[in-house]
Amino acid sequence: MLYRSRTVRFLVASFIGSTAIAHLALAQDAPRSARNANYVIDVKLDADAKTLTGREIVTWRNVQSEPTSELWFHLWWNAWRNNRSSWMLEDRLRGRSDRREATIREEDWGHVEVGSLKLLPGVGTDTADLTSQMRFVSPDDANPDDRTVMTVALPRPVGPGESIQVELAFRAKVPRTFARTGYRGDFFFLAHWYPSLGVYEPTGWNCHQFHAATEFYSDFGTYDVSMTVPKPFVLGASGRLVDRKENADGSVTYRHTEADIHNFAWTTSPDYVVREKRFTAEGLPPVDMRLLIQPEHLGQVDRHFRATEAALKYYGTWYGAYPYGHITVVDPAYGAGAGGMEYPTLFTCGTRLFNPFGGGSPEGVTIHEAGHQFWYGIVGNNEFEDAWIDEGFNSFSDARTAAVEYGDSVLVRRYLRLPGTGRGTGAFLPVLFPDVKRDRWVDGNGLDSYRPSSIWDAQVTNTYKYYPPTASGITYSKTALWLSTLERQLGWDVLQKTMSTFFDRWKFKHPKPADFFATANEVSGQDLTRFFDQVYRSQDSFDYAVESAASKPADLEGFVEQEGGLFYQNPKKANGDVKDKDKKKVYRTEVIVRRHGGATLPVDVLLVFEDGSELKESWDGEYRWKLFVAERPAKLKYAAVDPERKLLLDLNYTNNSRLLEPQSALPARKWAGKWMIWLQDLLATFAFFA
Amino acid sequence: MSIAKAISTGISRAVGSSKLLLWLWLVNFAVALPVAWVMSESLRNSIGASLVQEKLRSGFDMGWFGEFQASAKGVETTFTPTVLGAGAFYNNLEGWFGGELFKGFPGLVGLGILYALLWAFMLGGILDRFWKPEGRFVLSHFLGNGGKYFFRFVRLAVLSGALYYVVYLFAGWLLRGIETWTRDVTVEQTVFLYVLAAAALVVFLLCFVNVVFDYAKIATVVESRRSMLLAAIRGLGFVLSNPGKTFGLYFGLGLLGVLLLALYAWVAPGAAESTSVGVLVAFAVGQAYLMAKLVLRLSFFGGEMAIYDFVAHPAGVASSESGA
Repeated sequence: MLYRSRTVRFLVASFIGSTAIAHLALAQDAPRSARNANYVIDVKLDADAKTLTGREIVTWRNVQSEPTSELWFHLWWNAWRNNRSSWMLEDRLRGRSDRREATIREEDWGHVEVGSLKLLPGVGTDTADLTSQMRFVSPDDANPDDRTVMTVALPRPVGPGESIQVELAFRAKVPRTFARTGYRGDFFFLAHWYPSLGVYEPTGWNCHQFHAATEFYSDFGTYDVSMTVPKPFVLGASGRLVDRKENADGSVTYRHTEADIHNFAWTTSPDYVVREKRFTAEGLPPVDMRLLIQPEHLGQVDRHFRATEAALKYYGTWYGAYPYGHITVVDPAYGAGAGGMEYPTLFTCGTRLFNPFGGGSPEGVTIHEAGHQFWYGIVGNNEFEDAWIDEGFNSFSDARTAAVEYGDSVLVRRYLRLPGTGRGTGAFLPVLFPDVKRDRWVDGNGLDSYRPSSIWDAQVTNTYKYYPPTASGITYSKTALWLSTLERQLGWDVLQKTMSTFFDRWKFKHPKPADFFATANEVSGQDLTRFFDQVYRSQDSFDYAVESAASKPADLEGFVEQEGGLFYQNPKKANGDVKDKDKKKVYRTEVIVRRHGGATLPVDVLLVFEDGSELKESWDGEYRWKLFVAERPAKLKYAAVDPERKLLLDLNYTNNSRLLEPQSALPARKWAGKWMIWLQDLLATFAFFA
Repeated sequence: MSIAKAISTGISRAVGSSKLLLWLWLVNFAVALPVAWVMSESLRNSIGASLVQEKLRSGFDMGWFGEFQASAKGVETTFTPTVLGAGAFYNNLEGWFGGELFKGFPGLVGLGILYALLWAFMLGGILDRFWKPEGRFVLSHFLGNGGKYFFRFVRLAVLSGALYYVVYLFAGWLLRGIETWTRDVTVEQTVFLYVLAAAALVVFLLCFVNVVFDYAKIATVVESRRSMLLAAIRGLGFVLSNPGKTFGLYFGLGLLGVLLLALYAWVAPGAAESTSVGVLVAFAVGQAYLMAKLVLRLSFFGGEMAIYDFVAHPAGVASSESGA
């Protein structure tokens, strides 16, 4: 009854929406994307009951060469319907759900129910109620309790180039935040909230279940979304505001539209303070930035804008311009757990009450999520299967952007922690350690995150199959590290051109890994197959080392051929001959380099001598070890394999060099001394309780 | 006796006990040194002949730290660059407050308990010294008094330990409660104020137990008490009947402790010293801070002894003050 009573209103809205889309399409020179999945949605939030009630009309065009006789939908919020979903099972593997489930209350769970699904009349089709044709499937793990994917059988196939229009009525219970989606108090962040289509590919529907370690994949299209919220609530959403209407019941309806996007998120809260600024940079189109910030963070407005501008500027310059002309930056409420997530033309960052400049937050997360507008928003790879493309490219790019804009950050530790605090909370008081720098290459790219993940999964494995606790190390950090390796091996000019070419070719499309590899080979003019075999297709790790280094006088001892036959020469029994004294001393240096890891890539080996001279040689890095020999008039000072640290995936760089006369006692005592002061202080604390 | 007078008496008694201070510092140093030596060797092994030693000598290298941490075992797991300067104190406070101390390397907790027992042994000598400050510090006398009161103070420590544990449980309950009670609060400032208030309450309760048992120990020495339960009750009664003086002294000296920490945070060397002399100076500054903390701890006992003496034996304190 509820659905039927709203039908008329909805059809009117749909009509208006369709008109708007037509208008929107006309307003642009040409569609940037295939626009084959288009949504008109009308949704109302009940802020007290924490529910959404909505209707959507989906217009889908088959852009493949094969017909299909079904539609596949994601029902994301059913991941939090109960603790049997695949998302919850995987989250438990990550060690999160156990903690979380202990505190979940009945009202915290979320779900989405499709009340009806109708085929709307079109060319060759009549209206048909397909509600009875809806089925839940679990294509990834056959989990019978997972209801995050729904299929609908169609009365007749949709042929290549043909379109179909369906209308769904849905009702959803907003969860207490899971996966950055949900509510806390009167703060709402509503992402992947509507039934959304999978992607029809040459191999069939690509519509994975919702997994704990992966995100989204949808076709590009147009969105016309009307969101009704209580009047005092401030609203931010994907797209651009085209209409605001106050309703008789005290609510307000905001209508946002956008074209060439593949997802739509929104947020609402009575507490948001809105700040606006226009981004301008030479050679790039202007972007209107709208910041929805918590009142207690007003002192950080400029920091949010600066970080967003840095992303728009550097990503825009390096890869390609941000095309939408507007962007919404969301600072979620404290403890909401909605921070650090990207959606088309809208992203969440997240900061804290006390967040001194220099520690990399909120700058890092803001650049990262703004950067996702490019890698995810515009280049729309399949995040279920190849999440490393957007997450990895973006991690590499955000670290690079932060380094260019701010330089190195410093170590921060936060103190005064609530027990069991979750995402976005944690300890309150930050302390900066200015003497402990975090650089872009190692720390910014996340080597410490990759190290424990390195042995678990090869990157070529579909992301949703990764071992959940180590998925992010492979997805984010490994990619950032191998891109940085490429930057150091090929040069930034070549890598930048590779990435911008890839961006340009695949913007508003769905690239596959092979598309990037082909672009890299083409632009660099090199066959990088071996490189990608090692970093992408293998889970082997890199660890090159200097096993030993020795440098001794190169005296010849033993039998040598001279006039008249073989003579024994013993340098230890020098006869004091003047000629011998005057003879310049020569040192024979022998260095053994070794490969501990399973992965191989060519590396340089550098020998530095005490007279300042150097000898650099290349090693293909294939065999397990190699001996380098040099005879020079000076002793060896040190030897180093990969001295410029081009191979950032090397898990143990400390063993990459060896000094002949090490002075490790001083640094060891220095740091042990500092640690000892901590220990003495700890002992004094124990004494306090005696 | 005014609070200011008690504070100044406490400080002057502590500062005046230079040999005692030196002895206590030596004990603290000696207990920590072997473990620090183990850590030094671990760091040395990890650094090896690598060029990373250059970076660690002139600063720090997070890349090396990540490798070290990944393979760290036992006491090595407690190494972190956040031990720099006042970070050492914050880490300890957080370790106790958040319970991380007990989840980490158990060997250090064992060492801490041993040190607490050692301290309980030395307390007899410390308090006897402040009870009779006229004579010179004699180590054998000091150790003799330690032995005399050791088992009594261990019994007191068991009693106080039980109460500290109750406070610890209460703190956990309170903080978990705050998380539950504020689960729909969207303003960090509000939650922070709750947590700050809770932390203040917990610190007050810890200090309350501490101050009660400080006076229990003083009563044990001054009045040669053998029943530690009665000594604890005496301590409680004394604190409750003289709250202004006892807490005034306690929090007055506590404030000095905060100022000392702020001063150390300001002057404490970072990670930049790269010569042997520089390393030594930085280490000496740290030891000076620890010595100042020791002075402060003894000032508590000295001041508390003066107050106890003044309230319980007004004539006695007059004589002992004139004697000092």
